Amino acid sequence: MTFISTTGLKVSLMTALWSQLQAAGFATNLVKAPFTPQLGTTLADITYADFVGYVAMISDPNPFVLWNDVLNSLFQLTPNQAPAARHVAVAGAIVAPQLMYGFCLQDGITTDLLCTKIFDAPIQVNATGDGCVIPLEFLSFHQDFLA
Amino acid sequence: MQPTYEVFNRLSILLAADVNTLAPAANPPKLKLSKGPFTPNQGNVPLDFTEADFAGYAAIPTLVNAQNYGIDPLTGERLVEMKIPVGGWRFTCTGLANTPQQIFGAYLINDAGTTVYGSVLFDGPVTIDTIAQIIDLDAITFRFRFTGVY
Repeated sequence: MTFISTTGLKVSLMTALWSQLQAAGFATNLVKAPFTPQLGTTLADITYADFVGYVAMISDPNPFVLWNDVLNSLFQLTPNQAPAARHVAVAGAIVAPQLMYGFCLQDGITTDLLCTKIFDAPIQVNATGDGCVIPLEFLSFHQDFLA
Repeated sequence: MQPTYEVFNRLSILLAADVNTLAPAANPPKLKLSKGPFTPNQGNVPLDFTEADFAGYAAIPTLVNAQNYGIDPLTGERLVEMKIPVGGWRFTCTGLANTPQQIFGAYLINDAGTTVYGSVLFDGPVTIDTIAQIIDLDAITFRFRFTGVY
């Protein structure tokens, strides 16, 4: 029988998840090939950007804040990362323009793929100096994520 | 953002091993029956339930330490299932004291009786009025919903 869980159980679980992710931190990468964000997306579906000067964004230690968004009935795991660390720019001549279709987040230790997102429209970088800010997002957990 | 299955795998593993709720090393939660009506919801507290007391009734302690986790083969949803103790989740009426009694559902509560972890309402009240009647819950399952994470 499926039991209906209480907030107390959910809060304890979210705290455990937060603790695990805090220890690992996260890495964010831009994706240069089309992909479809879905539950079954794996790293095999992802092609990282690789224009000259590109580097993945590695989070600071303990990057997450866990809070209860009472307005929207959500548990929020929000990354707390300095904006300046999220900017990448082309640093040299590139052979051909690259289109950034979205980005993905991975566990900072295991590199497991945790979540993905596509941009509303691909972002193109063409030449030296073209920059792109890696979005800072993570996951929201509606309070019925656990039945 | 769109989560991957990895997020739900972690959630189920963490919940199954949560020493603060379902998987303590000692004094585990207990399964209890309610002889009063209730509405299962995330805000349930102990006062929402009236524990059964028909002859032969006793709360059933769950097993200590990590519980089982897995995947529903029909839906792909990740599950946590409480390990089944010796004797199962089986309540037996052994006498006529405090009968007839209607049982509306079951709830999982910490050993101290202060925090409810979950509950289930039966399809309809079950009347206990005869020796040897049994209420047997097949499993205590917690289920993660893909639509709840984004």
